[in-house]
Amino acid sequence: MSARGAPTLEVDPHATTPWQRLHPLSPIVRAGRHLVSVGAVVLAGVIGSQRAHGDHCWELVGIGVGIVAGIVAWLVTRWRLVDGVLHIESGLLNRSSSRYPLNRVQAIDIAQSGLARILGLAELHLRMAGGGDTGRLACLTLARATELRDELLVIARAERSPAGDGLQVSAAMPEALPPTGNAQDLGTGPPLVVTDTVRLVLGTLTSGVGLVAVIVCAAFAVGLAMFPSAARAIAAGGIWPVIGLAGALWKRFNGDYRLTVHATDAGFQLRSGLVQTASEMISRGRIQLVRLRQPLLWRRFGWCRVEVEVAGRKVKKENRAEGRASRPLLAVGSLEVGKAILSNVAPEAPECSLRPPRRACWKAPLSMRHLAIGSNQRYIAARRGRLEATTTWVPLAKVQSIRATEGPVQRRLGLATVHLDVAGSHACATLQDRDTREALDLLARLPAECAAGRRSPAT
Amino acid sequence: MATLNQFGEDEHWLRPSPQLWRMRRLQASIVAALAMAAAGAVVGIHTVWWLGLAAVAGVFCIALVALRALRRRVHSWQYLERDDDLMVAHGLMVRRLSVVPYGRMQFVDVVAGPFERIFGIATLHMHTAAAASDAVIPGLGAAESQRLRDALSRLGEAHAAGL
Repeated sequence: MSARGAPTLEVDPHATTPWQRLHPLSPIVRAGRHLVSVGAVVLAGVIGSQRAHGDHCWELVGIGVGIVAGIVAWLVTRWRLVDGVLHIESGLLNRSSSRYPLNRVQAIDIAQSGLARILGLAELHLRMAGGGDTGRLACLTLARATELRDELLVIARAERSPAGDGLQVSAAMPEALPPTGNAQDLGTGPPLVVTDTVRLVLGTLTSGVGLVAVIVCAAFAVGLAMFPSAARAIAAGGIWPVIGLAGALWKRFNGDYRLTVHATDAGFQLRSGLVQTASEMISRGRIQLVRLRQPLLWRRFGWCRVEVEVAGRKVKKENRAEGRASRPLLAVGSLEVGKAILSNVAPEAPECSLRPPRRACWKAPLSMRHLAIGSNQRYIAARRGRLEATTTWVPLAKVQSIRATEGPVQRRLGLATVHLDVAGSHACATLQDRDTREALDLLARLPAECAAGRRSPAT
Repeated sequence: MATLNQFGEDEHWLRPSPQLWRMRRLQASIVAALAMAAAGAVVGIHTVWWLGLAAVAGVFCIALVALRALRRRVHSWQYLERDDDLMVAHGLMVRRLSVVPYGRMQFVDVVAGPFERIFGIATLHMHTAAAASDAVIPGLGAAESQRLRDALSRLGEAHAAGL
């Protein structure tokens, strides 16, 4: 439990502290993520308009209103500890007063955005059992945040132990808590994988939104080279898509930057981020589905990406990696590393070896070369995809419902598609274009096999 | 050649109440009538009156064909209560078949819109933790929807499993 080796704190769990405010610089940090977009808008306005300098009073008024709102928000936000319960009050018009009983805290995270790092501040996030609601103290100084986290943890343990209800999170808690906001130092043994930065840059630029950005930039360069006279018009017209793409690219890159995964018996400890860092604990039981993705260009380099789909509501977070239901375990890496991670997440996961009948190429000419399924007593595997090959593994114990579809073309060819749904928004394994007899057989035997999987959960 | 329709051929599938088709027919007729009026008015005002009449006739023919397809579509709904799960099948062009284990049902609700209330029917939704499993049975009579809802929630409790 106390592997952290920190000096034991003398904290009275039933103490009542006076109301306290957050750090006075916190409005700046909280506005931080909007500053970039505001700056971009102002910049675009300056470039795009022919107005004289000093004619930007509306922008100034907007910024002034934002500053005042930030200061007011800081003034009305306060927190205190009462008998093992954290009270947070905030809001001027929408007054909200939240209570976070510390005995039900699942994890306490310290997160630092880029601006907060410069100012030496940090945010404290309380993750409650049952998911959903997150208590946020933004921001405190890093030293105070660390101290407060340790204090809260001591109280949480003191509140929990006499009851003896043996919350399963208590064992996982030390791992769930980052020692500091710094992504480098972790005291829990060697990581399972650390994403290589050079490979991440190359990988991001050769797949998905990165590839689109590269193509758009190339198109602009060609346009500028061919029509130098129209440079201004091209720049004015192109600035918005470029800003949007750059934002999306940045989010993806930052979310995956130095993604470090530590595997424990309880689950996986993830941390990532260049400017906004995030850390998270995913327990093995929450994993609904594992996905191995091989975008078109990555297959030439033998690279892949491994993601897991996690049960629970989506929460909007600054760091993209935290906010989505699907979390990468490997942002980009070689296929061997991907397979190694897969065998850790889903031991004895089957290979995709059963190909669909040849006639499926009339219905799915592009995906035909990727289509395959595989299964054993615990998992179903399915590969599909036109340009990007995606292999999905679903534990039979997690299947929520089974659907079969048969379109008009499929009916003529004697094919059918079977979907296995798991918890989450449209997370499913799709066994695409199987022979209809095979699909009927799957429909007949899968419900019983899933029920068997539910009764004997992973050992 | 095998088709999805062959699944559970010898089982006793249940079908929605005939009121469902009456309701859909009324709704479709209202839409068709509005479309006919709009087409007739637009064409008739902008060209000559007999072209307007022709447009009305054209829309009427399209509506007849669409109504025939709709009829077959509505009659394609069927469901089957098995020991451990509920199966729902529907669709004509794209045939869909869902299997929802009782243990996975989070909750069941019965919804009746204004049209459905006029015809004395209701729609049953089964919700699981997966957003994709859209098990819906439309057009159940009042007694049948009550019976099914109670049976499903009882079976759901008996089979309940964690995530």
